[in-house]
This record gives sequence, structure tokens and C-alpha cells, in this order.
Amino acid sequence: MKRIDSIKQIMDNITDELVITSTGKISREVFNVKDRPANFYVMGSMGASLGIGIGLALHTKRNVHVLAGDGDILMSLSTLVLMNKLKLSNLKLTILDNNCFGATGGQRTCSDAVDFTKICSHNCKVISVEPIESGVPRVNLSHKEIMERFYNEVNKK
Amino acid sequence: MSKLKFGVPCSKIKDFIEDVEINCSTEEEAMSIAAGVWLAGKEPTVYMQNSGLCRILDHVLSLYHPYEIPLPKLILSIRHRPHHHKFCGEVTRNVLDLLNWKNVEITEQEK
Repeated sequence: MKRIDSIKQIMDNITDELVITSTGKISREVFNVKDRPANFYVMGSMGASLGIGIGLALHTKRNVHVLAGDGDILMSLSTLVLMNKLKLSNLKLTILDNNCFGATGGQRTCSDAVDFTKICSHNCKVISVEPIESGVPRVNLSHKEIMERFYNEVNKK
Repeated sequence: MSKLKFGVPCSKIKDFIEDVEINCSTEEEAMSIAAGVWLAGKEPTVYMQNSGLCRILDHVLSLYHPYEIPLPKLILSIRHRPHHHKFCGEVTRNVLDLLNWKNVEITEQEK
């Protein structure tokens, strides 16, 4: 399956969850499939998406869904261990695994040597996707705009 | 347990970190969690040794700065000894200045 088709299926079923997307093409594709204020696109700081999701899930009652690439999760693998330790009921992780660094030319990652769901058996799902880029445009919002509307969404009275 | 403190321990600051929420495996992990906690409307604190400060430069410069997320309060130990701490110890205050990190509580080891 193409990653963007997988993202379409996921976003079709999103209601009021906070969605955190990892850096690179995943953020672009989610933005183009279903942009909403409750999406936080991590553009830069590779490896940060799951930690941000954990911080949010610890201190909001909202459900949090992190959509991350295999490269992003591999960069901060300890955070996947922490997710398994905390077992937060309002945190879900979907790893879209294309076994490569898609944003930099498709160089292979080590994800074929690990079963992420054995590291984290709690609310962690891996979807294998084809290493094909959809070519959708960049996120057409500034970092500050993304932060402000997300912050207001999370902290609205 | 909700003390909003996240970081990696150091013996020099152990009196300040008896009430932490999570001892993280890496300082980057603490910084990413703290960003999420701030987005949830809270004011987190992070703690680490100065060697950890060198590890988190990317999260400060490509997460906190571009999104204009305020840097969390930092409880930081500056170590100079033994020898492997000497070089990081010498540059730590310059790194804090470069990152424009204001809200820092420092415990510094004698040189």
C-alpha cells in the first residue's frame, strides 16, 4: 500500500484525537489529506514526535495519536520503550514503515531488523508501506501558526 | 506524582530531583516530552548534566525555536571533573548563551 493511502484511511477515522506527525513526508501527506487545528506537524527535530505525544497524553484528557516514520522512531528508540512502560490509555502510535529515509532520497533504515511491536506492545501498530513518494506539496503554514492553533485547540475552555 | 519534571539524573543535582515525573533515557526524550507538556498548557522543568545539554541542541534549535515554544526551566549541573568533563564544562555557559536559555538553575562543580 502507498503511505498516503494508509494515511487517508487513518485520517478518515479520526474524530477529536490530537494527531502528532513526524518530520518529513508524513507531515506533508497528513496536511494534504486532512489538515485540522488538532494536527501538530513536527517539521524538523527528527525523533521528537513520540515524546511530544507522550507529554500531551500525560497532561490532557484528549486521545493522542502519533503517526511516525520508521526513521523517526529509530532515532529515539528509548521513547518507544518508555511508551511501553507508561501504557497510557489515551496514547496510540502508528508507525508507517517504508524501511527508508524517504525525505532524503530513499536510503535504507534498519527497520527491517526490528519488530517495533515487541518493544512496545501497548497501542503500537506498524503498517508496512511502499517506499513511494506521493509528491504532495509542503505544509503551507508557518511553525508558529501550527503551534498557536494547536495550543488553542488543546487549551480551549 | 505529577511534578512536571523530566530529565536524566546527575549526582550533583540529586537533591532537586527527588520529585520527578519521569527519569528519561536521553535528554532529547526529556525535551520532546516537555514540549508536549507545554502544548498541554503546563510549565515543565527539565534536568540534566551539562553533557546532556550538548545532546539536545537540535531539539532547542529545530523544535523549540521555530515553533516559539518557551524553553522549559532547566536544572543543570556543570561538571569539570574527571577529565572527560573538562571540555564540556568549559563551553557550557557559552552554549546556554547561544541558545538564549534564560531560566536556568545551575549547580557547578569546582574546576
